[in-house]
Amino acid sequence: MKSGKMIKKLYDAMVANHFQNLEISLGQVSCRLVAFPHDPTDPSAVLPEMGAAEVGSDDLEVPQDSEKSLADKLVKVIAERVGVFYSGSNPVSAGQSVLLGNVLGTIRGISFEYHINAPVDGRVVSIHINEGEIVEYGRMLFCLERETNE
Amino acid sequence: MFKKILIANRGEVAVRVIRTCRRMGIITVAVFSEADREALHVKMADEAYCIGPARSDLSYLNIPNLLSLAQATHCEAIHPGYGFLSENRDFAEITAKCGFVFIGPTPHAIGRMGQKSVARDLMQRSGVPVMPGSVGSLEDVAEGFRIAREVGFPVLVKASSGGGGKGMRLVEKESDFESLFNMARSEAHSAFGDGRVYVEKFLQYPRHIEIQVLADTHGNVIALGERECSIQRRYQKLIEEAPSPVLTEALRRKMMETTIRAVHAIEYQNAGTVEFLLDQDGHFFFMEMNTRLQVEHPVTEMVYGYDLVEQQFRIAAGEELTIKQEDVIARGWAVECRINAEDVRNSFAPSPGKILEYLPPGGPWVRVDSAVFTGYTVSPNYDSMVAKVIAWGPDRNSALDRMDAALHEFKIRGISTTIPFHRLVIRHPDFRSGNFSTNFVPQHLDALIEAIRSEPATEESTELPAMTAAG
Repeated sequence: MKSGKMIKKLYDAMVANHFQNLEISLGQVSCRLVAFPHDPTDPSAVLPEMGAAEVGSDDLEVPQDSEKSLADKLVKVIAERVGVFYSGSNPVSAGQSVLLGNVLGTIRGISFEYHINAPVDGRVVSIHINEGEIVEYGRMLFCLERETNE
Repeated sequence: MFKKILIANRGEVAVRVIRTCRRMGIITVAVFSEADREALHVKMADEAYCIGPARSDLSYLNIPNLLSLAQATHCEAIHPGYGFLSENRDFAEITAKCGFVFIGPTPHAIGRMGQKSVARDLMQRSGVPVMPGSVGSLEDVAEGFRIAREVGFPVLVKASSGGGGKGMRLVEKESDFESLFNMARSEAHSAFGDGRVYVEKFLQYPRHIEIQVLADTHGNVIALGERECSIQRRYQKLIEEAPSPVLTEALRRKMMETTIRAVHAIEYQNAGTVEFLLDQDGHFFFMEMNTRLQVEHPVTEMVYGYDLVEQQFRIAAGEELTIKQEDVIARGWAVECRINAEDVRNSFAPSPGKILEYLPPGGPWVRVDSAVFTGYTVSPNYDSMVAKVIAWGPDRNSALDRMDAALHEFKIRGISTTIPFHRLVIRHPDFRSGNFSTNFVPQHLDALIEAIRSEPATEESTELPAMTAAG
């Protein structure tokens, strides 16, 4: 879990600085992080239903088993509608546990209000959108860590 | 004037609108699909947002996403460009209901002119000559056949909601009528969701002449002369010019006056174009009205000196037209070639792909409206036009010579383009003579393709094949 937190910190720093790629070697451990969203021409980046995507091995290359299992557990929540983001009266925060279907936020458009539901049971790893911000199609909104029964 | 607008379009026309906005100090919001992330309109606009995947129906035609973005970005108005939602009555209506100004005519006008048979009847009642044919849409073959016999074969069966040649059939003899009538009906149904058709007389050697109008919300209407658009392939315009080589001043005045009268009668507002067919005896017949900016608008701009997109903004903002009809004076001649990413050698098959080198022509009196650049990938998802080259001259021959030189200078490597085809047409003696009709391309196509095929297949070549262009 400790290395998972480190990866998350690295990823957040990478996103904050608009880096697309980050490669790090620490002793025998090396990892490469790739920022979302992917190149739109990349067929592997096609959005799945429910606006969620598994974070696959292409996104997070980790040689150690523990990191690999963490990468398998990450799920990104992606905007399928265009509008303005509102977090609601009880905004979710990083680290918070959520259940499948919990409302993570709302996208308000001209004639609709679209609830962004958690696609899995798990924990909010990172939030990539601010209150009142414009949401464009395909934007990553949240990254969740899927809960497992281990 | 508007402070901020959204452009509900892509590519060349989005860039065209952005250019006028920049000059007028209007902030622009561009939209793009996932396939257009690197597009020029995205780079040039003040703000740009992804609105959907590559498929047009999920992105550029996605009305909720477009209007939600207009609201989120605090835009006051929406420019629809041409194509996509520009002639969609529902979009214009919803846009207005949501509190935005639609930069174009009223939904009512779009709806009426979009129904070709309704438009035809309205024009006829406004004193515009229409091609002899059926009044309103036809329900059955027998009635269509009776009218076809009355006006005399050959006749055209056309889709009531159609355009661009879809749902249209030429019937040359009586025995073919029933099958071709039914084919037009089913094609119209699948293309437009409306199987209604009408019948009209077919002209053998017509010219396509259209009149550009501007109409404000105060009842002022002006006409900015004509455009000659007879060089077409499969109802798609390839070369346009202003003025027309065959219109006398008297005929021009008559066509403009007729058009202005009709535009008043239908209470049309904003920029629009009324298309006519002109026969060899100088009779003109209403074909359709395009309720938007036209692809070929630059030739009018070059000859009359007005920015039509600026006029669209001013009219939409409620300003009164400052141009009086007596101020509309043609100066010289302008011609436009639409350069498509198509392989002429291979029956004009689309040629999408990455542009390895893009060197557009320049110099005095040459204008290039385009949204491509070196490294840009022409997507197979959208139309194949990559650039419009516009050349001006004091007379027709000098405009055409300048166009020829500009096309020679134009280098596009990595994809096939129609530049060699355009150069052959520009040099063709029949085209040069001004004595041609909409049959020009069908009549000369094989010889033109053969001349291009006889050259080594170098994708970047704009060199002319050794041909006297007498085909």
